[in-house]
Amino acid sequence: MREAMEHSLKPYKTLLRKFEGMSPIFSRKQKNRQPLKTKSTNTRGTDNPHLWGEEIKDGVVYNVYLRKVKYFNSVTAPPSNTTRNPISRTNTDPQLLSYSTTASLSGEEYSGIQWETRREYVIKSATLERLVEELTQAMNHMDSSFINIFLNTYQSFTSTEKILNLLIQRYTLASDRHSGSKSRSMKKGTKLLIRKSVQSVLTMWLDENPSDFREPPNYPCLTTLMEFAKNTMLNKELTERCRRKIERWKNEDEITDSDSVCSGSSMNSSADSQFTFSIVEEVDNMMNPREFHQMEEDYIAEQLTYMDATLFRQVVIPHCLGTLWSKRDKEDSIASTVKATVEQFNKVSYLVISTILGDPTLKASLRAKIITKWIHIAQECRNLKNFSSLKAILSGLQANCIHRLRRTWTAVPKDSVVIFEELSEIFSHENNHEAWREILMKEGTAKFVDKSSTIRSRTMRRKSLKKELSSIVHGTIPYLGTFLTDLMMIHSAYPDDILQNGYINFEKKRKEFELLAQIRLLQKAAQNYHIHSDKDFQKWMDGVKIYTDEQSYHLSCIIEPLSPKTPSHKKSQFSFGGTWRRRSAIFHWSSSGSSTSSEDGVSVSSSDSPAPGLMRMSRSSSCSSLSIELSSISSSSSLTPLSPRYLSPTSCAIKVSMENNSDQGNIYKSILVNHEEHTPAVIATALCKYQKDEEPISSYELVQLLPDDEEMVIPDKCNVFYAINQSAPDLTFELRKKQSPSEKRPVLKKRNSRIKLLIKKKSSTS
Amino acid sequence: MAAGGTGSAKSFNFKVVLLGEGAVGKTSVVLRYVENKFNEKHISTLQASFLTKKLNIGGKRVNLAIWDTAGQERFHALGPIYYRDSNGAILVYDITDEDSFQKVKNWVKELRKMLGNDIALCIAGNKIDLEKERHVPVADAESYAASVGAKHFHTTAKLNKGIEEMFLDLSKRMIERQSEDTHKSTTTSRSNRTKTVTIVDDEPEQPSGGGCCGSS
Repeated sequence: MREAMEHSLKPYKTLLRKFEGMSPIFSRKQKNRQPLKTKSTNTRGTDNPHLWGEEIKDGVVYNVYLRKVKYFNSVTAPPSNTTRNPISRTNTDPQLLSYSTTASLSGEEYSGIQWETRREYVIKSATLERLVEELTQAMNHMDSSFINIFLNTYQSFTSTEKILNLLIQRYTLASDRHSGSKSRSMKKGTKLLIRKSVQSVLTMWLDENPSDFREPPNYPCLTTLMEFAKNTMLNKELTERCRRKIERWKNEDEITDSDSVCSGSSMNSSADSQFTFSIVEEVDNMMNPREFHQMEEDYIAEQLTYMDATLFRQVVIPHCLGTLWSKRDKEDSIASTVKATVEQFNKVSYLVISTILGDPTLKASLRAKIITKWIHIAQECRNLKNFSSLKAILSGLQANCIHRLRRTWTAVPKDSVVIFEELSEIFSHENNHEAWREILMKEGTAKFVDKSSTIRSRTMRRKSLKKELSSIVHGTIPYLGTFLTDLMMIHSAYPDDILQNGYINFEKKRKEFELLAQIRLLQKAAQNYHIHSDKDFQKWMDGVKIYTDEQSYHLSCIIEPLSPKTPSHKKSQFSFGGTWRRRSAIFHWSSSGSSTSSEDGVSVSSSDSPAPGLMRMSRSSSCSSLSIELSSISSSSSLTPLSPRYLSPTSCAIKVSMENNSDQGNIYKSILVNHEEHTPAVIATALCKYQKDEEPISSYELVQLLPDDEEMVIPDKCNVFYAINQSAPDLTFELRKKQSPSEKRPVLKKRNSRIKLLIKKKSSTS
Repeated sequence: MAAGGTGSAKSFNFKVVLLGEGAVGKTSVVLRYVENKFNEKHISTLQASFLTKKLNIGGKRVNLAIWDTAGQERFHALGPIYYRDSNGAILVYDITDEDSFQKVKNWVKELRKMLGNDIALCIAGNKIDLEKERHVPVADAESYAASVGAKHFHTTAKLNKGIEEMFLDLSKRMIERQSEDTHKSTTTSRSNRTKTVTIVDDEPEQPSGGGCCGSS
């Protein structure tokens, strides 16, 4: 327990430092004391306060830290009636614990005191009511840190309405007219202070997190706030602000009724007016409707970046919290701003897949050109520090249906493959995304791409030289996924209520806010993009047909069937995060094409570095392995010369036998399949030959029998001619009755035991 | 070849992925399992793309790298990057949520399609502490699991039940598979006839009809 706490101390260090800088109380003391240094004479040799223990008081559990404070000169003691601020602040008198001298404590002078040990109180957990009280006290002390944490995380444990009511309650309690016992015990000055701070909190809340109040169609919380500001607080400014917000939102929400994206929409227009790129003229000359190959790579990257930046800036920070984001809501309203960024991400991945697979008749070299283009778009995204689309494009390129297109990949120029590898390394899972986190640190809020970054390689630099001159200040769009996972981890790892007594674990909120604050900084940075959006691009994007996973895999298999000996995943060209070139691979995967062995290719080279890079695959050189694969393909296809069974380029003869007919010997019928016939037509012909033409076609399936007792079921609506695996020595088929779905299940498993989708275009051998 | 093989002093390195819808408790399951680790290291850094666990099964050392995609479930295209090259998968659903079970079925379908039988599967019905709110019948889940060659476990991260057993079973099966594969590759079995290939096409999409004979 203690150890865990020590670990969690680090964040506080920063927090505490902030408090020292901000707390007016503290600075007052400093004035008294002359130069006061909190530099370490600590026993631990650092200025870390160390945990002394816990203290529970009035609904709050504090962690108490001890800190030694050193004085340079004789100083005046602080007034002994210093109000104790329990949030997280140094407590002096009467809680000074020890002195280096034995000086008397009686006088106002602590002459000769070298240092003192002070207690610092940090809220560990507290009841909701107490947290709201602390909120207003923090306001008094200008402790924006506490307020920020609270306002950005409260949604994980309560609602806007509840907090609003508690604040209103606190204000009312402190009003002069209030006659409650608690109220009477308060001094007039205290009351005034409380009322003032409640107003400030409310104002700050509305300013910083306006989306909390955006509850169309009636905006109940904002209305309550407005009424309260108008009637009780008599705060005209706040009233007016509420009114204007309601008015504006009402307008906006009516227009974009179905649009789930909230707030920040005013930014779009301002971004539009700021555009500095002059792509427009060039764009206007292009043909309409635009085609993928007609668009410049940097233009596409810019357009994607514009979309991403807009969505990212609109992300409502608390929506990223594990509690909110992970909610399995059936309605879309929860965390809608985060969802919007994810949807865009998915859209880009699908776009990559669609453009590559869209035309299955394309030559491998032309398809490779599309892949190459996407690699370069990804690189442009990298230059624009748009890590969201960068990762989306890389994911698209690594999707099963693209990943397995070996022949196409071999046609991708080597230097592009190298760029692809290097870009993929950014998201390598190695060392828990170390590379990505490092980049984010270095470049996140910096205005330029970090040229010295270890990740940036010579190839990238070379390519970016061209852009150097036009290198304009960029923002950053992070890949949000790692943040979401980190937040989920915190959410799952820490209890919300440690003592099971209803106290909110505020320590957890602090940890969550650390990450949220990073996102917020990046959001600010994302305002630095000056890209003009082109509606035509959006139109083009929306117009591209998107395939489902099934569809794209099917297309992929039509484009490039695999050799029957090698299940698709075995010869992975791309390993995790695309890290290809390893320094110290722990796992060694054999690149031999042997069929069933995958795990046996595993070797352990290092025993003492367990976690990081455990799963890295060894691959000495991508290019050489690609060529190995190429040769294996060509050798397998050379085994099957174009045989006479292909009667013409548009038709071929196949042998079809009937299931359960084997007792009559190997009877088969020859059927001519032409290039326009789909599965039902072929089955119909076959049934006819077996004089079973009265049977329903749909209850039969056509199965190609392959060497080594393997089979391939021809899909129901497939073009048979192109689906045939002509690498088989004999085009033999079996017509069999379909199994009912219930019977199918157990078989499914075995069937899939080796997935070899062997549909091959006849053209590939011709 | 190498350590997965038949050597005597061997250790196994397995990659296990956790898949399932958001909020089914994937992370809690892993954290529970590797708990001894998480207090000091993982949690304090708050960053863990995967967690590790070392096991000793019958004298064999097993290192598990457990990958959790929590929070990134909606990033659709990431699936393959996570599960590619994994030896085992744990598919988690929430017994109180039928949709999450459906999601598990989808994952099974995809994994079997892409990885065939090379991956050992476990299906975890999580949150059995909420038995009263169960929406996925035990019988359904178990028979489904059996039909796809996966083992079904009833787990609760909250009460720490079923999790240890699940990982142990999965590890054993991954060891078996690896040993089997090694064996197979040396004896090149050429037997059962049931190996077929199927193209699962929910919505078959016919690419540009006939006549697409572009040469390559």
